[in-house]
Parts: sequence; structure tokens; C-alpha cells
Amino acid sequence: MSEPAIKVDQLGKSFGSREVLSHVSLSIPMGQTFALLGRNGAGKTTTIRILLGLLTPDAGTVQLNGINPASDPLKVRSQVGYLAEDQTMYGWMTPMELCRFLAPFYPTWDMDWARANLDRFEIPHHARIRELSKGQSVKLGLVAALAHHPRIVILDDPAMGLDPIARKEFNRDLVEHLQTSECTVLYSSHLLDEVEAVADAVAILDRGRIVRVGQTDLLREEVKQVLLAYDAAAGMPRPQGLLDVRRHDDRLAVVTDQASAYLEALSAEGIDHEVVDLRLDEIFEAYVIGRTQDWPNGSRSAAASA
Amino acid sequence: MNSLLWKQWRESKGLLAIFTAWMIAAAVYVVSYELGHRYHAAIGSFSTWAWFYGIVAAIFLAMRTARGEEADGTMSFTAALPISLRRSGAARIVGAVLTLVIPIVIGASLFSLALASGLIEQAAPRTPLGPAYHRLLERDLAPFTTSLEQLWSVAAIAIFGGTQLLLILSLVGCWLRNQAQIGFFGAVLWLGSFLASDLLWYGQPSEISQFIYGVLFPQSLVIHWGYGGFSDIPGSYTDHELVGYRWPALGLAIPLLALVGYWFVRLYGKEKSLSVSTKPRRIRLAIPPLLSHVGLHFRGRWMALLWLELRQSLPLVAAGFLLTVLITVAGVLMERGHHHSFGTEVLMGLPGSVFFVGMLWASVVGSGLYSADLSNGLGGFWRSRPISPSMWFWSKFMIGLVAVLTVLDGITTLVSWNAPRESPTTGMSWAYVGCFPMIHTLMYTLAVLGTCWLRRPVVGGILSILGYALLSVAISAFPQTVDFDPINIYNHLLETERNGHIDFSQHGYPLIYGLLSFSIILFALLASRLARPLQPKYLSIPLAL
Repeated sequence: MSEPAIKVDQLGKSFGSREVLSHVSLSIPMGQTFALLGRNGAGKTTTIRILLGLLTPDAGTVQLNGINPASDPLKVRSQVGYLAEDQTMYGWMTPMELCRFLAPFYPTWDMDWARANLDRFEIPHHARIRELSKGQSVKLGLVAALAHHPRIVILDDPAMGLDPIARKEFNRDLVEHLQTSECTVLYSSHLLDEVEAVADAVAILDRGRIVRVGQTDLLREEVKQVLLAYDAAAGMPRPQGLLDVRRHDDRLAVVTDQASAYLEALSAEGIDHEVVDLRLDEIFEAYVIGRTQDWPNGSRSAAASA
Repeated sequence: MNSLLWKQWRESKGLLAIFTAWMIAAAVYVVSYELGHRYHAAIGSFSTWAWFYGIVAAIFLAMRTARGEEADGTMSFTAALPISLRRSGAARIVGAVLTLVIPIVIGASLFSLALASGLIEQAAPRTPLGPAYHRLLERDLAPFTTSLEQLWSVAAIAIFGGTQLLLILSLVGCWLRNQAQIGFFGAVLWLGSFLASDLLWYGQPSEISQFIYGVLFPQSLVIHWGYGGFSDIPGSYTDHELVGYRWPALGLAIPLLALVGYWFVRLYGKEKSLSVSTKPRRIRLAIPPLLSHVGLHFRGRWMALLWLELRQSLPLVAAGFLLTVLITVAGVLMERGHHHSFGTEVLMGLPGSVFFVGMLWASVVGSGLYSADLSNGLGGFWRSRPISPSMWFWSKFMIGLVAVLTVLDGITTLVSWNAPRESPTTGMSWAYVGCFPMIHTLMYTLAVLGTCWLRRPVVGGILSILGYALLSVAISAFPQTVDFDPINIYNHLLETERNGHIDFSQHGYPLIYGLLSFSIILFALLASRLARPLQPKYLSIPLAL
């Protein structure tokens, strides 16, 4: 088995007394598009800064293509394409000047590729960057991040701030690029519907800890919403991977991981139920704000029916 | 309205405390200096401190008044309150004016106590008709009431001058995009105010013209004359001269200032309500990006960085040089000697202008070069690139510094070298070459240090000027050390050079300028540490103002 492109092992980081990351472990194989999901403050940007060698972890190890960013950050950055949400470029430069300026920093910089993609994204070569639209600026950032053909691309919420159409367009361009290249992508975002279209695998980061990691398809396969009668659920043991419970009159909506085991148990007991497939954003929601305290217990259920 | 005033008080109290401490320290310093030297010139010194304070405070306060809410991200909140934005603007400008005025009043009150107690005394006012017009040291002492009137005259003029600058900058700030632009514009106005305030003091102006001019431009009601650095004066002192009808002029200036304040309030309400949903209007000269069409390809990172930094620093430095030339031309027009051609007189006056403007402009360039790259936006751009923080810092530092020294000092030295050297303030000298590039380097480095530390361009730049001013004050506060002031050393070197001999091993030059060189290296190293590794703002050392 080949070495993973990105390997994070038991990562920990605190700012003062505030613990930002704790025991974070990830292994991203070569060529995979991996989405790092989390709310604001979950630790996504801190993880990325550690990956780029901008922050030193307090605990754990990180390797990108076998290089430790803490000891050799410049080598990592020369092999990584990075695009941040709020990244700006010199407004007085033109896209062409930006490409020429960046070229000496990357031995593998491909000016023809850059020029071709400026054309493809309809970015004027000789207009001042400050005169570009927000969408054009983000696409220019993408060109600047990819023109050296990095083996690893890190995207930190790059489409934030774009209108829905521009976001879709950006993601379409991104998908097209990813399909033609073999690079590994770490995509951090909270625009989950868009991530879903491109991500092979996801990790959910909540309050500095990885709460779930897995293949996107598998995750959708394993996490389901089950609708069943409230009283029937009360007679059943609590599912192993329970994430969220909501009562709607006499019915219960249960979101659970490892749903197959629970569904088998329901079928064995002959309890009628309905299975609902979840989107990635619903799975994410269940993991980070799901509430399980509404699960019916036997005695309360008995009292209610009496 | 009470809530608005309370909010204003909460926002301003930190600055008010700093400014009050500044003016109290200035009053204590001036009194102590007078006790040490007994020049009877304390009011002139106090006046220069109050004037300097008024300018710095006005720039700071205007930045906060005009664009503070946008910088803090509270504009939408304020716009949503059930009060008109004009009221909010009125509260902001009144709060800012009070924050500027109160420290001067406190400083002048302390100074009054020193005069009343007989601790210090003041020489008779300088008047064109009086004896020993040019020599304060030969004048009689003034009665207490006269000194008191002189003191409160200079205090009131500093208050009115500072308030005028604050109001104008706040007003212009409504059209500018951000706080940094207001600070930059403030620095230009600062230089312009030198010319404007001195304009009617040359030649034979009538009192009535000075009065009318004083209504329009209150700072012109006083002029400062500095003496020192030469063998017959141990140390230095500042004489001052006041316009006769100063109080009526100040009285008539009030409605004019109120008008500017009213204009600001109107514009604040209008502009801010618009800017909630749209960007402020931008005025920009559209120069076509011609160089983009030229197929420049950089051979290596250093060449790319050289191009980048030159592209950023040269326009800034060139603007400073242009401003210096304009100031020199205006000065020549005001003091036209008719002994030489106009061009020759400009070349004679250029070193004197560059010496001072260079100190300010080196700070502007230093902070301007670093502030953008250290912001979150461009910081993110740099953080993702395979460039070491050292390479980034030192390429920027060296190229910016070379640009400052080449354009400001280098060109001035070249063009003015053969100009006549008729007075201490005209013509080029070896003393200049040996001293001022070093002082400009120090100012540049201090500005870089302040900006890398605080990540705020204007604050960083002004702190560098304050830092140098404090250093100068600390040295010149004592008769034993006054000759070690770098400017005094320059004066001594220049005096000996004009007498036909220059020797850089004398007058403490090796010690003090050696220390300056050491400080420059130390400050630059410290700045490089503080900028590393281009960390985002929240990881830098905070300073709550």
C-alpha cells in the first residue's frame, strides 16, 4: 500500500488555555479529494496552518508527501497549492504580472497552463486585479494555486463570499480540474452541498476533535434517518450510533450511524419504519448539533400511555 | 443622545488617558528643561509640544472618527439604531474634539501653576518693535500676567489648530476608503501646515492680513523660532511670536470650525448610510498597466522580489520627494533673497527640506511597505508561498531603505552639492551626508518595527516619530547630555565644516552615530522577529487603543 499523501497523527494544539485541536488523526491517500467539515472555530484553519508549517503543533505529527511541515515548511509549500477564503492579491498587479511574479518561486511553474486557464476562466490578462470581480479573483487564486502542478492542493473555504451561481461555477471548474489531474485535495468548507459533489471522503471536526471520518458514499450509506412510531421506539434499546432524535407528535425521527444494525433490529421486532437517505449537510448537522436526550425511556413512555 | 455620549466616552477614554499623560509629561519636561537651562523660553517650548501633540492627536482621532466604525465592523449596528446617523456623527466629532482639547488644557494648567509659583519665568514677548528682536536671551523678564496670557494664547492656538486639522481630516475621511488613507493624507497635511502656518510671517505683512489669515488658519497666529547647536548657545531653545489680534481671530474662527464640523456631520450621515450597502466612492487615477504587456520574466526569486518592492516603494518615495521639492519651492517664494536665480535658491533650500521631510517620509514608506503584506488578506497570500520569512522581510527592508536613501538623500546630495552654502540652513554638506541618511534610516527602521509589532500602519508610523522625539527629548533634557543629540552633533559638525574643517571623530559623532547604527540593526532584527512567520493578527502582540 502506498504512503498517504497527507498523514496527521494525534495532532494537538492549544492557544493559551484554549485547546483548539485534540487527538486529530487523518490519513488521506494519494489522489483523493478529502473534505474537512466543521463549524466556525472547529479547528479547520488551525489544522491547515499546521499542515502548511505556519503553526507548530503541541502534540502529534504531520506529514505531507513524507515531509514534516514543522521542520521543512518551504519544501511543503513548494509542493502544495493553497487557496484561502480571504486571500487577496496585490490590487495593482495584473493577472499576468502575478503569474510572472510567482513563477520563480516554483520550479515546476507552468506558464502555458496558467495562461490557458486565465483564458478558460475568462480572466483578462492585463486588467488590474483590483478591477476583477470577486468570482474572477477567486478563479485567479485557483490558477495561482495550481499553476505549479502541486501534488497536494489545500482549499480553505475558497468559494465563501461568492454568490450561489458563482460558487457553482467555481466548483464546476474545480471538479473539471480535479478530474484531469491526479492531485490530492484537502477541501475545507461549510458549504456542504458543494463539497458533497467533489469529495471522495470526509472528516467531521467538532470542537477540535474528529468525530467521524469516512468515504462519502459509505457515510451516506451508514448514516440514515429512521421514522417510526414513538411507542414502538420506546420499547427498543437505544441504537448504538444514535446521533439525533426528534419527536413529531406520535412519531419519532431518529438519525443514527451504523444504521444497518438498527434497521435489522427493527425488522426482527416487526416494527414498521421508514428509512430516509440523508444529504451530507444533514449528516453533518446530526453530528455537530444532534440531540439524543429526547430518546424515549420505558418508564416515561409507560406513564404517558397510562 | 446620552447613550451616544456614553459610548463615545467609553471609546475615547483610553486615548484621552494617553494624550493627557503626553501633555502632562510635556509640561513637566518643559519646566524641567527650563529649570536646567534658564533660557526663559519655556512658553515657546510648550507651544511646540502642544502644536506637535495637536497634529498627532488630530490624525489619530480623525481616523477613528471618520472610519472607526467601519474598521471595527460596528457601522451596520449603528445604522440600525433608531437614531439618525447625523446624531451619531455629531457625538463622534464632539467626543473627538474634547479628547484633543482636554489634554492641552490640563498641560497648560499645570504650566500655569509653575509660572504662578515663580518656579519658572518667561522672557518678554518677541515683537518686531521691541528691543533685541532676535535675541531672547537679551530680553527682560515678562510680568506674570503677560506670561500667563502668552501661555494661554499658545495653548488656545494649538487647540484651534489641532481642532481644525481634526475636522478637515474627518471630513475628508468620509471620502477616503480607510483609516490608513486618512493617516497618509494627514501626514501630507502635516507637512503642508508647516508652510501654511509660516506663510505670512515673512516679508512685511500687515497685522490685519495676519489677523484675517489667522481666522482662516489659526495655527498661523504663532510662529516658533528655534535656536541652538552653535558654540554661543549651550543647548537649544525655542522663541515664539504671536499675532497681535490673536484672540479676536480665534473668536471668529469658531463659526468657521463649527461650519466644517456641521459639514462633517451631514456627510457622515449621508455617506455612512450609503456605505452600509455599497462601497465608498473611490477616486483613482487610471494609469494603464503598460508594464503588464511587456514580457518581463524574472530570473530567480530575488529579481521577482526586487521588482515587487521597487514597484511598491518607488511611487511612495517619489511622492515624498515631490512634496519636498514643493515645500522648498514654496519656502523660496516666501523668503526670496534675489541674490541667486530661483533654481539655485531651490537647490540651496532642498537639503534643509529633505532633512525634515525625510524623517517623516521615511516613516511613511517603512510603515506603508509592511502594513499591506502583514494584513490578513495579503498575509494569507504570502503565508502560502515557499518563501522564508527572512527573505521576505529583508528583501522588503533593504529595497525600501535603498529607495528612500537614494531618492530622498541621494538625489538631494547630487543636485545640491554645488549650490552656494551661505547659511547654516542652505546648501549641502559633508555633515549632512554623515548624519541625515543615518537618521532617516533610523526613522524608517522604527516605522517598520512599529508596523510589524502592531500591524497598524499609521500607528506604527506615528510611534516611530514619537519614539525618535522621546529619544531626542531624553538626550536634550540635561545640560550634560544635550550635545549628544544627533541633530546637535550635526549642527556642530556643520559649523566646523563651514569654518573650513570637517572631522567626524569629533563632537561625539563616533559614539552617538555608532549607537544609532547599532540601534538600527537591533530594531530591524527585532522587527524581523515580530513579523515572523507572517503570523495572522490574532497571534501578534495586541495593543488596545
